[in-house]
Amino acid sequence: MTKFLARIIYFLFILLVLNGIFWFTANKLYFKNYHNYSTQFNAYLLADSHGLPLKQLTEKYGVYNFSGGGDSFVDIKRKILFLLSKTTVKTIYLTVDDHTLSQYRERLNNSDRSLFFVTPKSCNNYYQYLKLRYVKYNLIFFQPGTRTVLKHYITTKINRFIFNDVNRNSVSVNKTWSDFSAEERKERAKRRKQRQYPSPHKSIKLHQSFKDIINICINNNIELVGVKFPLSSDYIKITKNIINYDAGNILKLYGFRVLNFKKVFIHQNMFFNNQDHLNEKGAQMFVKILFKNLKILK
Amino acid sequence: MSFNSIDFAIFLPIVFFLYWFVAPKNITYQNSIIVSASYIFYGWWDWRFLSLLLISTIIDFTVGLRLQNERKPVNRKFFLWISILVNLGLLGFFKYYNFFLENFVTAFSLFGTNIKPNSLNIILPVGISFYTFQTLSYTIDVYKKKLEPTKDFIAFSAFVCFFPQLVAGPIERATHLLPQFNNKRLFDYSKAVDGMRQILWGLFKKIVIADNCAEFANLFFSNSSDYNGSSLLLGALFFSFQIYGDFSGYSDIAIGTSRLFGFDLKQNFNFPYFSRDIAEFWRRWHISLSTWFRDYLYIPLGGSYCTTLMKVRNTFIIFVVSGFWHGANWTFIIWGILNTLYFLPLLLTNTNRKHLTIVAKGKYFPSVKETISMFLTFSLTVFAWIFFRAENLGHAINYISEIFSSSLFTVPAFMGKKDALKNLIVISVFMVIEWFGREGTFAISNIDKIFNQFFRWLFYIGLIISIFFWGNYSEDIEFIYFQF
Repeated sequence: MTKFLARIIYFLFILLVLNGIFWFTANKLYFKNYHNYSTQFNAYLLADSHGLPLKQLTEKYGVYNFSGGGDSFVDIKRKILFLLSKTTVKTIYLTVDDHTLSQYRERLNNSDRSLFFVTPKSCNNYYQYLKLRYVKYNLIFFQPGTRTVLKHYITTKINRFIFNDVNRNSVSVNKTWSDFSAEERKERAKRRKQRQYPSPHKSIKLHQSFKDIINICINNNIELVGVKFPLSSDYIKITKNIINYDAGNILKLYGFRVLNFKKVFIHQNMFFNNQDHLNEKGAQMFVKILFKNLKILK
Repeated sequence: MSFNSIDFAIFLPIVFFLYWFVAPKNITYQNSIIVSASYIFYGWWDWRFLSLLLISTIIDFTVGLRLQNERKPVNRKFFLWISILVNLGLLGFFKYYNFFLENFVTAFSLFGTNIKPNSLNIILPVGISFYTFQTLSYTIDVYKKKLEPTKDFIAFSAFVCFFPQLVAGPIERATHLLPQFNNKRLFDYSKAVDGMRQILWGLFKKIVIADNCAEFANLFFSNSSDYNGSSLLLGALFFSFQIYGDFSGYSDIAIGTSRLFGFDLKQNFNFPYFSRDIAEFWRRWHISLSTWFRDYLYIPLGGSYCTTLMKVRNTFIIFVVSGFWHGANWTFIIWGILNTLYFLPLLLTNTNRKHLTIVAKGKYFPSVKETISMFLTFSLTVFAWIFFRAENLGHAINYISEIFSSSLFTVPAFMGKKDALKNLIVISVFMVIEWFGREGTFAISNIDKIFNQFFRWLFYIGLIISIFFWGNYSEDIEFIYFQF
């Protein structure tokens, strides 16, 4: 038995070292900045990558931008429960973009990264909390999302090393949507649409989490404001006749406000980085419009 | 609790520690730990069904004792029938109630009588077919005086609910497993190491092979009308590897886990895709179920020692019952009939026991004849799996019709071809490893004879990394045999 246990411990030690290497790399590539938060605010903006370009611009208006690229309603629910345990949150600006209830978002999300925000209240029992927050969060081998990032990183490194291959598909950060030709914009928008709307059916899991978020806000007297982020004309046109999963309408049914800015920058491609993400200039403009509207509504 | 979950990764070391360190010298304590752990393991899915497990345990334990004390054949038969009726009654209700109801309604409607059925929303308790057959083997063996009934309720409970094989087998015989619960267990280093190795290999089969194949098999079978013949053929191939990786992977983890606790379970898969005919395939696929049917159904019916007509009838019965055991659907019955049709020519020409040892034993490669035989057997099996996987008979027929249409000769057309190709490469590597390990009990069981410790560990770490990088972590893919 002693020999067996000694061997198991050695083997687990090797695995832990390996896990440590993966964790360190993932921390550098993937976890970085995602776990940043502030407890000094009463209002928070929670969105996916659509909220990211707004950076800290919202803080001027007393709102902390707590958005995370790829955040799903499952991740956002975790963040809200985390905020409830740490802050005196009064208002939440929540993304209700058309794709937020898509099955695409159920597949591509931050379920690994957002484990950091898991609290005992967000779990069915304390065992579940310990399992998610301490075992799953620390053991990279149980994190499929992190695995994808690491795999991509390693493949890119190998390709660069062997083939001297630089990612040809990458878009320059300084390039705006208007710099692309009309044909290219149409093609990129089409590809994005196929990716974001793979099925006419919304995700049951995300729908449930969305309803949970609404109920949490109702039970804790939190004002919930739905926000639909601006989209480029190309993307609005191409997604015009597709299914809207109705996150905004669901929120309205509960009596909450929804601010629809989808068309606010129509035909103004210089404000976009790609078909559905604002660039820095667009973000600056949008923040002003968003909070001006909120002031008027108040 | 599933073997490929974090819960099991936490659960197993705790039970191992309690078993070997808290109660190392007392068999009753050790068995009690096994019973408690097994009930937790099973209750993790749905604690309500623990009552069924307990009912089966109490009934069969009591019947066993009564059979020992009873001398009159009529009374003995009565007690045997109590056990059979209770066990098969529970199985029949939970698994087949809606199936029979629907078919009765359809049959009556053919004669112009419309019946309003009271179908129930019945949840199938996980693993009910497995533990029912295991407990039945006990009662039948006691009845046939092949086994002395146990007076130790804890040991008997442990035999019924032993967690590694509770929900998806291997279906153990009381004559093989029950005595192990009555004997003192000593920790065996090489057995434990072998067990760990088998667990790792089972996880690889499940997470890398089966679950990745499942993505494509599900894609093609769920939307079969959207794809051409060549794509559907690929779908059938993916399903064949999915079901093999999934079920044999589960058995490997079950056997490996049992070895950590000092138990030996029977081999359930013996490289079935290297079979040279269907008879050999059935000696290598789900061995514990095939032998169960052989011993408790085929032989009592007369087996092969009877007239040709009776032989045909007996073969037909066991394959149809075996199909029906898998599920309440006509697809499983047709799958059983199809296997009967494959098997009968071998039985009637007395060539069903031609291939008793593994193919190309002691050689690196098979002969041309062996390769062709293996290919043909595999093709027949893939064809039969289409019925097994299809939603209903219409679906299976449409699927097969499209495969045998001219679109079979077109290039497969579907999203994710690159991933499918990667998957095929991984399957090929996996089959090569299986081929070179085919003389062992599982593919990597003889690795210590080939590699020294350094390279063995390197191989294990490689397997773990490949599970991490190529494994499918989807929560939606359960073990296929849980539904049976």
